[in-house]
Amino acid sequence: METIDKDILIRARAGDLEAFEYILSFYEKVIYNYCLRILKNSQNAKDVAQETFIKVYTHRKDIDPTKNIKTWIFTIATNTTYDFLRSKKRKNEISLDEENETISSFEAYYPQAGVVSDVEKAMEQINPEYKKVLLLFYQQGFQYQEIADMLEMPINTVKTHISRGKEQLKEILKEYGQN
Amino acid sequence: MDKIDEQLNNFSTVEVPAGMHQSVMRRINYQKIRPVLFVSFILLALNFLIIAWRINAKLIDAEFIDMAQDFLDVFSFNFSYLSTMWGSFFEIISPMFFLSAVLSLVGAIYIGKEITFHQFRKI
Repeated sequence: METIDKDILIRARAGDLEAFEYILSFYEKVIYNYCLRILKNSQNAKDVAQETFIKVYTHRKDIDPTKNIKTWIFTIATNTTYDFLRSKKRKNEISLDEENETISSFEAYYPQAGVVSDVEKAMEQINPEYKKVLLLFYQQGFQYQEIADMLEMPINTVKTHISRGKEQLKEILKEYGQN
Repeated sequence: MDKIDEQLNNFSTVEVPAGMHQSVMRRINYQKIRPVLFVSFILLALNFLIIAWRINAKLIDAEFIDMAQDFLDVFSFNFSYLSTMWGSFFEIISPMFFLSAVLSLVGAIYIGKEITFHQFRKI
């Protein structure tokens, strides 16, 4: 797994904008895609991804150069995304445009990627808790312990979520006619 | 590895929307220079108050029009005039007013430097 040089992390912690911009360039794509998978709305995903990096800069003093910054950034991204969803739900502020985008074809989010696999489509139908863990485990390559720390849940719960998530995926894929 | 694992490992991704990177950097730059803007605003406000006080207390009370008329009557460009002007500079312009103006100028130069170096360097 590619990581950021320790020296850059030290510079970013000291407030060096060039070092911060390097971190931004390194993670903006994965963070945006992660937010997009959860929020299913490109504008909201963009806003939340931006907010995530603003928080990274604001809390730069918490950067630990000895640890993997990716875990920390994803923790912030996960919290920001779910805070956003909670606040939307509380305010009941889902506009008609957003709703249309959310319920439209899944391929609409990934027009540049060509054909979207059935697993990706099925992923949209499983329990959101399982989806979150599966995304972190498979798409981002985090270890069980890292996910457990990130989501503040026991490691066994992470393993259970992955296993149940996969079971749900298999069930949905059976309905699609796949084995 | 299951076929499902393989597919989960190969999810499609999209590119970052245009302007997201720039927008983040712009907001961070603003955050960085916000204290400077705050100090400059305070200096500007202080400047304004001093000017207002100066105009009120000194120039209007001292019948500014008459002062200007006297000045024109006695005006003659020579070294003694310059020397008198220099000597009475801080009588006309209060030291606090002068200091405030200098600080405002320094603040403006500093803001200009910060904006040039951070906001427009990369974007």
